Amino acid sequence: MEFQLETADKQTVTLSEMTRGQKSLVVFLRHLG
Amino acid sequence: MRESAERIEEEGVSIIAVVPADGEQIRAFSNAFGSYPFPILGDPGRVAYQKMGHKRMSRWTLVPIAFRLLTGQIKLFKDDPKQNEVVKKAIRTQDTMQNGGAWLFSESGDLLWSHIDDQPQNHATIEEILKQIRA
Repeated sequence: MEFQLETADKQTVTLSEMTRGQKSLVVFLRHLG
Repeated sequence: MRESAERIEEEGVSIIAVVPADGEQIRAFSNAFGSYPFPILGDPGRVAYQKMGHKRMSRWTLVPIAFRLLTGQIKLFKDDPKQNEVVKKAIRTQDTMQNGGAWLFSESGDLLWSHIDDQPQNHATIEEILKQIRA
């Protein structure tokens, strides 16, 4: 859950900080587009 | 997924999409296709994909997909040239053999449920996701 991910404005976030404190559905997509 | 987002968020669940692309590609995608009602995050090295157990397709899986493409059952390219450019770049630069999955986490970060796709068409359905959210 500490995986580093990139936002559209090239900021780095972790999955755990994005899901912290809220029930979350994380969907891994096959591809973009 | 854009269409199902509202039904999921009505249950008090936030959605996060992860794609095997970098931030620049995500920005280009949003510019071409419009913004989504949830954050899209990039995992260009597919580290999270691999560590969380997402599968890659075998090359044989591509045979029925190629057939559906050739017979027009799947439309790969869009009418909008800007959208086409994004799709072409995705095919060129992303791992087209990567499968996805869905993960549901509690407020405290505990895993409640997950679904690992073993084929491109084997996504968790919206009904299954809603059932797991309400469980």
